[in-house]
Amino acid sequence: MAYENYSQLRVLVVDDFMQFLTSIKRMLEELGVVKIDIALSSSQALQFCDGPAYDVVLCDYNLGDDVKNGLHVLEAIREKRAIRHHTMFVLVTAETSKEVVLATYDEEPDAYLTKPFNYKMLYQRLNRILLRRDEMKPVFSALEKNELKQAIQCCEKKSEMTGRFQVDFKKLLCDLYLKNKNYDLAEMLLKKVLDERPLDWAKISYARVKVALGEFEVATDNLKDLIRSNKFCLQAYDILIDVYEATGETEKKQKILKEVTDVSPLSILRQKRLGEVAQVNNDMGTAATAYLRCVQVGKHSCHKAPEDYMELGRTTAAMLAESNGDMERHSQKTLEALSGVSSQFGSDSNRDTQLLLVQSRIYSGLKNETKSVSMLKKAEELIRQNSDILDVKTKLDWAQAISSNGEKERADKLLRELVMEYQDDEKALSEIDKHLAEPKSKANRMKIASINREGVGFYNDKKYAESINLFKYAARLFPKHVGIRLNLVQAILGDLEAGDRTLDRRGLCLEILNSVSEEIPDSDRQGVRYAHLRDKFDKLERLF
Amino acid sequence: MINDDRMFSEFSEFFTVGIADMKNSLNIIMNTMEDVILKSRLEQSDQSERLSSVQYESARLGGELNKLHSIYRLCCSDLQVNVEEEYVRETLEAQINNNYLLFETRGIEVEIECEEDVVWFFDQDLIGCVFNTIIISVARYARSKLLLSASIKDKMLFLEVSDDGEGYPEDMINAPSIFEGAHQAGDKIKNLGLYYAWKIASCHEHNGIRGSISLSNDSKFGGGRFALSLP
Repeated sequence: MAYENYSQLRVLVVDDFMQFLTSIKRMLEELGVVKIDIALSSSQALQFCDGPAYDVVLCDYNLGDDVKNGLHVLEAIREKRAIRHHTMFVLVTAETSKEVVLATYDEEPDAYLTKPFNYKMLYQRLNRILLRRDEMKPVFSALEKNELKQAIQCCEKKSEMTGRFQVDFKKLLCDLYLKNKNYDLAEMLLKKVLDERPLDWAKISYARVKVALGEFEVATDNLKDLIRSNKFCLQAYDILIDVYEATGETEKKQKILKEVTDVSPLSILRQKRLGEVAQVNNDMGTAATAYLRCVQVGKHSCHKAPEDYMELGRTTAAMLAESNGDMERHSQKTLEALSGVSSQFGSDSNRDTQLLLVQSRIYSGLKNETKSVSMLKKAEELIRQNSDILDVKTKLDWAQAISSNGEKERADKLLRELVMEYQDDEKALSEIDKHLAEPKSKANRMKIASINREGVGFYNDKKYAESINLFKYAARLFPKHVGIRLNLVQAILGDLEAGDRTLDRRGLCLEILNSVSEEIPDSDRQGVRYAHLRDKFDKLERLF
Repeated sequence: MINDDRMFSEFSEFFTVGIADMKNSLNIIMNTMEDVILKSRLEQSDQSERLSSVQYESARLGGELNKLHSIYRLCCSDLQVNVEEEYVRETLEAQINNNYLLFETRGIEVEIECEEDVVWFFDQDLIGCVFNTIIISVARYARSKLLLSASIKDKMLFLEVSDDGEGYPEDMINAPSIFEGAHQAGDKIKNLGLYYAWKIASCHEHNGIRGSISLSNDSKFGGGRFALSLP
């Protein structure tokens, strides 16, 4: 069957190479296309796309010296237009490297055209996607009107008929069942497919159904199997990440994000998520590396955001503060990236101030006191000018910059003032919590209470290993929380008394005890507890 | 010898960029040639017949590049066989379309016997590449006819290429059974093109059954017949 409306189509062709454009144009004219626009660069292509929607965009992956590639163009077009079913995007490519192939898995163009190709190949590809678009139109227009049930009915009818697009309809129908919460129908459809052949798309959808039903264990088992058999199945990682997000298992979430970004490093959004979760887990090394990759691979992406640069700065500063290793190269790259923020994103009082504060912290970590102090001074100048419009993030950056410049007391005073100022703002409080010995937000206070309850329960039942693991995790979430850290010491000592000497935890105990002793006065309730545990530690030390 | 990771990643880089560059160049050559041939037909000159060997050689070059790329994909990068439910006719048509001028200039009539809605499970890139290589070589030996056909029997897909040429020589007909017998590392492989087809076919496995190839000279046009079966 042939598509008949070529003369009505609007087509955009994008490539940096004139000869290619001319020959594609000739081929399209041969097919009867009249309205053909030609773009020699990604920016020109995006300008064209501001107008009425194209039916087809034929775009080369490699746009020569242009900073963006074909996938960036696709990403930007999809971001701009909510409706993605009208414009068919064909990626023209000679590219063969693994990274590029994997990056295309994420964006999913409607079709590929591999070089070398001729008039007939182009015709075959266009014919197929345009016929499919027409065939699917009733379903998508029902969807656009939010008539989900009608879309499903239409899709059911089409998928029962034999025809050229039954496979496409089967996949679409499954998505629609999921969307409409018809989980039993989706499961039935998928089981039928999987009985015949263990196809990846069906396994993925099956896991989605299980996630939707809250059967996380079945879902994770299936997804892990899928990844074992095909480590490039990026969607499987993504669903697994969502599962761990739902269950609050932030360490597992980080592990999977690390794996998927190793397999396919070019996705800015996954690098960003890795940065975020590693930050939650207080693994600043991983977070800083992820944010650096995020700003590097995202340079030309429409998803790039100034906040990622700021987090890169913050995590780098935090990493420098806690580690003695050689971070020179990473720090230089970070400073380089930060220096381009204003020119890329323009000026903004909060952001400009945060930039100076974060840079000050990094210089302090690099032991460059002159620069660190001068940056802080410049920032405080801005703070004085704009005191009424500063947000909590900026003020927290300020407290940390003050602290890393050695003025601990002034920093603590500022933090106490912030707690007062934001006492009714739960969200701001939970931000401030990370820098306090005792959290102030309701959510975090409850979290600590429940971890304590569970951990002490394990301890009382003499399940020391479980208790240690839980408190270790909590100490990473709330690194300044004295009670949690002392609980960790107590659990380790309990384990030791019970006769477990296999693991070397002496260093960890000592580190916690020493830092706690610097932070609290003896008269404090925790101070008494500290003294008791220190005493016990000294007595048991020979057992380590 | 490639003996460390860095050298390997440098090799990969050169290799993949090199292939991409060659495909780009070939694309321009073939598009220009398509232009010239179509134009010369309009002017009824005999240019197009004279270009037929250039056609054949560049089609071969394209086929070989694809083959190299897919071998690289399977052996050197850990991208795997990517089995999906595909439309069989579309896969076959694509290979014919890829080489349509070659058949036209050589005066070979091509036919496909396969319904539009026949679907089967395979890696479209890899199987497409096998058929591309086969039909380019058939274009050279066939006299005037080439038939691609597909059928499903006993839960297997059978794809066949039949021609009206001289038929395959004995050693090619025997080649697949030699491939099936375990050959030793270091043994020189004869009929490398067929070995590639056999290798790709046997990468396709389902319920313990692997794909395979066979060659014979009992085509219905009296020439050679190449068959590939997929579980």
